[in-house]
Amino acid sequence: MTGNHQLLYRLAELMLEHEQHILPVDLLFDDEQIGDFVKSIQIDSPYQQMLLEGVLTESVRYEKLFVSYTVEGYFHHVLGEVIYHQTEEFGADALKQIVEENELNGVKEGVEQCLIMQIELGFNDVLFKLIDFGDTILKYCTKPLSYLILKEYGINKNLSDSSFKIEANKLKSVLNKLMENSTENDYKVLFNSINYLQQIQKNKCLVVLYNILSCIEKYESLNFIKILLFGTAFIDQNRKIEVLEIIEFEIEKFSLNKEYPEFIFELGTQHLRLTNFEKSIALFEKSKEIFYLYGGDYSDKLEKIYSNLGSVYWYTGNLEKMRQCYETSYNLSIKLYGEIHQSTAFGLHNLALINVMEEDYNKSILIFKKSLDITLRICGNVHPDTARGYSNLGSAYLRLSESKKAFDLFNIALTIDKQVFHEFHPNLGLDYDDLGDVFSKDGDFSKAKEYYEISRSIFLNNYGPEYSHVKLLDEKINELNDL
Amino acid sequence: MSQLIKNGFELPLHVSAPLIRIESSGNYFKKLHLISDVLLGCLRLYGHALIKLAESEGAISETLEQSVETLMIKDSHGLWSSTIAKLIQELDKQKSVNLSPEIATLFGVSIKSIKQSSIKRMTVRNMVIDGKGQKQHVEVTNTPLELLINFRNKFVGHGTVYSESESKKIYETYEPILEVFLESLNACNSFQFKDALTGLSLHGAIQSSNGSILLEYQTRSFSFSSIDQLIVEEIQKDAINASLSSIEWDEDDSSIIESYPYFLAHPYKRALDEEDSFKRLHLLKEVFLNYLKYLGLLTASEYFNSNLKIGDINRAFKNFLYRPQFGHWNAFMRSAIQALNEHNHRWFVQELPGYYEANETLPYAAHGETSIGKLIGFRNHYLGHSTVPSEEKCLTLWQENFGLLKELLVKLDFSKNYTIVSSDKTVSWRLMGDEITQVNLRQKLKSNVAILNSANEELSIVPFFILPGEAFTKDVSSRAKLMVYEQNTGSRIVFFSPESIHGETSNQHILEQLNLLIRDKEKQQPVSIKDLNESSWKALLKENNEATIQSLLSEKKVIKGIYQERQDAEVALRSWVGARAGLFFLASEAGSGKTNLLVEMNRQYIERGLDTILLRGNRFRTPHIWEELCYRLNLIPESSFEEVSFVKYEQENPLMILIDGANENSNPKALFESIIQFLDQHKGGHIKIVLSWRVNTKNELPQADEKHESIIYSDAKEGDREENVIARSCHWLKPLNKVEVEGAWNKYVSDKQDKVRRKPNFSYEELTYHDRSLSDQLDNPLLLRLFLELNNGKGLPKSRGGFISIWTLYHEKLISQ
Repeated sequence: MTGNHQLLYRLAELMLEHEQHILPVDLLFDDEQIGDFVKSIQIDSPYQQMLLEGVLTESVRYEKLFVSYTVEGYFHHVLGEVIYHQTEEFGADALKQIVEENELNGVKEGVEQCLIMQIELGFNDVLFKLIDFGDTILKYCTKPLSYLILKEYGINKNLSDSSFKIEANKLKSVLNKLMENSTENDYKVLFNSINYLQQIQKNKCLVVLYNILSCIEKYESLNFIKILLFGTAFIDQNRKIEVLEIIEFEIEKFSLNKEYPEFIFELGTQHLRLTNFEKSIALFEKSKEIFYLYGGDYSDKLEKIYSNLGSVYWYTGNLEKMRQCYETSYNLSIKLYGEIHQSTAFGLHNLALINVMEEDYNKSILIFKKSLDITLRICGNVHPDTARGYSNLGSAYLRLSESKKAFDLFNIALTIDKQVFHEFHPNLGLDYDDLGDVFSKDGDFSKAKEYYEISRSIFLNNYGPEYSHVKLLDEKINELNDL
Repeated sequence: MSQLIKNGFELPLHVSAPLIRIESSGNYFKKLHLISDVLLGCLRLYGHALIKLAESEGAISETLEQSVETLMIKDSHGLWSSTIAKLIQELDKQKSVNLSPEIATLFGVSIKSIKQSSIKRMTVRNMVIDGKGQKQHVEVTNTPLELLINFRNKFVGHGTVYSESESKKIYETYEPILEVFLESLNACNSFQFKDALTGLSLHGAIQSSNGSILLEYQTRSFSFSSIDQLIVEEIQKDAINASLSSIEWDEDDSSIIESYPYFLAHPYKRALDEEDSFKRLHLLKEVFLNYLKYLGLLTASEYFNSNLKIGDINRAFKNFLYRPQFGHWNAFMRSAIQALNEHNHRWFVQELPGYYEANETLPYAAHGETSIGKLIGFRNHYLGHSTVPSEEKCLTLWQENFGLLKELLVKLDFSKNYTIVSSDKTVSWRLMGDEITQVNLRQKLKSNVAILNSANEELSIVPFFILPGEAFTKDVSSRAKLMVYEQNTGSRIVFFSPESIHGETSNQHILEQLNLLIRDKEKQQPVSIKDLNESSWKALLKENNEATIQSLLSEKKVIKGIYQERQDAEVALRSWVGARAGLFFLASEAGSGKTNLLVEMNRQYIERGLDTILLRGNRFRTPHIWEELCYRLNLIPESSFEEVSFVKYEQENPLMILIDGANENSNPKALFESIIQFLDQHKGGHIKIVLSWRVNTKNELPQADEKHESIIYSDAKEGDREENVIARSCHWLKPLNKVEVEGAWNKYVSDKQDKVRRKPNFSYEELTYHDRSLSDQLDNPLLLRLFLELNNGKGLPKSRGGFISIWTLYHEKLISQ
């Protein structure tokens, strides 16, 4: 070991031994291995070098000098190395003991790092055994399992490589091993790992993972159903409806479970995304009724249910129900978040839509303005939500045939979106479409067509020719061609 | 010794040259440094040879490459030793025919592929001073190589000027170990080195090497070269035996030696009297260090004896003078003198601020360099980890640097007018000039070491200067006359005497004196918040926030001028200001940018006109939010925000408390609970807390009782699927998206203010196409920063054919230094 390695390793070892992530410097002075390094105040001693590079930090508390690792992530890495060496011969039991008995702040992350080191070396069994132990240890298996999934998926594959077959096979073997004699522990860890992979935005890996999972039938486990339901977005488009139907059927076994209404709500949301409006209305209503049955304050959940229901009724043109749902949702939002909040701004936007549907455009303008004011206050001048606020207001003016005002507002939205997004982002597609509408209304058809074409190319680029907005734009362009 | 030389002449020049110097030198202090040079010469020569051998067999693994790369730029005994061991292990693993069992034995590596003679182990018995100041004997058994490396780290690397008798004792302890090491080296005669240009053998009578070397081993030969590490200059025979005569004093020298404070005069005289050029340089450094201490400790004493309480000086003392390196003394003075002047301090040593300004502040402003800076540079460059310079070089260095120091000292002649005196129970001493003299003082001193001015006014300089008899073992007190502060851990103070005697003490009396001084300066009489007014309240908040940000900057957790906007999180943190809930829980993985985000939000909230308090979880004295707030803002615990008349906090205009890294508190669970309770007592959203917490996954978050749901702001946009109220309400700080990574990358590479360079010779896009596994990890701001530092000035990293964590790369770099 070099001096630096000896110092960093021993420091982590002492922290583990003393169960303190910050140690008195005085304690280190007498250490046989690193005492001399620590005592030295010469700029080139390993200890001083590590301070200088910001790897270690000294701080004074109650007039005493302490040292700690500056960066937690790196401390966990070194600690993982220490734990690895200390438990190498004793396996999962020793790791479990450390997690349960050692009170060092960061010890769990150290165990995670140790497990990751083992996975790097191809020793996955310790992880699987720890998962079987269950209890408190499960939390610390999430990241290593995510790491194993990423490793087997082939994290280093080149961008241009679109073939998932090899990765799928490797992943399959990991999942088979995990689900061999599976318990709820296995699903819990897998669910948490999937959440983690979503957090760190490993979506391509999740697509491969879900295509494997959607072919596995483990519906006797609520946690397995949970995994599928909350990851529907990653399931192949062709399989999605089928999987949702199976879930809807299988979930009934768990109707007494506290989470049941949330599962129903989520099912409704998934159907809404697939434009299965009737199905989604039924599921939202069911979820709502169960929450009311439960009693207690479920305002936050109900606010979302009413908002989603309002959206379904907007799509289906049911004005009364839409009004009822949006107003309830808005009132709940005010209660929950106060006047100045994005949810409240969004609620106002929904209320304005009611006026639009009633063709009371002047009133809708007032409400859109109010919504925009809130958005400006919380999001600032350059934000996608602010751009949408200007765009909504512009649309209302256009309906009143105030083209100049509408044009200016749409232009502001486009300017903002150009600052925030890349040139092919769908939000820019909306902006160009809006501007095309202004030109169309003013009779400048060639200009309108030009803008519609730009908008169409953006949506086409993002979603393909079957996308509803592409078709809508096709219609607009055809109409102009016919003129 | 003769045995050493006998061995030496059989050995290659890189080892025999410093051995000859050991033999010729009569100075044991220098001999100690030359042992280190023998070792380094051996490690460099055989290390380069083994790298060549391993390269020829493709035995340099990816991890070894990093070490080898570092060695070529900045080598050290420890890194050579560990790299050589790994090279031998790799050759052994490959069952290489080029592996020499004698070399493996020399470097203490057990091998399996070839039979080797047993690896010798030896035992060294050293004396250490424990935390109680008591002598303890420690036995260490290891291979000769490791013992010699330990020797180097312990006795040579720290720059301490040992007395000749001490140096001799150390030398005699390690000489037998060096002999055994050289015996093992002699057995490695299958490695024959030649000058690559002339073909002459480097074993025997040759005097110099140009750094280009040919290794002949078995039937093969390998050539290698290194101008920096393998050149050996011809030893000037006359210079070897030449001992300098002591320097004749001029008028200024006499004045310094006769009338300056003892701890300047004594080492100054020792330096002038020293006949060994190398040791004289070390003594020059001692005088310079004592000069810095004189200025620094005098400034500290001025402050501690005044009635002033200045946060900047308290922080500077803690940051710089607990464990001061050379540059820290200067940094402390810069900050403390300015602060004292700003507070109209009445200087006891009136000339001190003017002297510092004339010799440091003004020259630095005019030329960007000063004599103090140059002397610090000289010390760091030549008296740290370098080898013993030639006699000629030593003389040149002396001439260059002694003049600078002398000029600084001559201008310090006002120090003569401030007599340092000490007094124990019976006798008083005048600590001026090279010889301490007994005096009869007209007055009884208030402290037993003090400075008297011409009006006989007294400034205490205890506990920075203490009498050896007060706190040290007889071994120390019998040899030292005055102990001068060197460093302090809060539990032990290390002192160093002008006679180069090192002493540590945990004496409660002395420690308590120092701790009391610090405590007294920090202690403010707590006030009720009612007694404040708007401006004093805002000043308190401002001072706290500045101190917090300063600590983050000094730990490099925040880099000035570099912040990558986090749009989602910023919007959420701006959005919640008017909410009724009081707690915004911000969670994410380590290194996700929580700290930088909170510092930015602190700025934005202030800009918006909100009162804010920025705190760090790991700096809390207790895990109780209210106690900490009272401590930070100097309030009595009975204070209440509700009783403030000068400012009214409301739901839409709340007091914002931002706590970074609450999980790093010594008791995070208790802190979290105290925050929940605190907010429960202050419901309504007029006091709001943003709490950042590092976790890997949401299921590791702390748990709050469901009944507190109303005080926890919900920012969950992805549906409620968590069981825990915190988990389902928290804002999860997402990794940087691609645009943000690119933005942050560009900010780092174009930052000109920061001294650390972070400019790789490739773009983010190029990296993405080259190694996706690396570019994917850069969505963590900290890892991005480390990656850019690791690859500063480099081309695209070589792919290792699999996933490699940036932490691993960072670790490899750190441990290979």
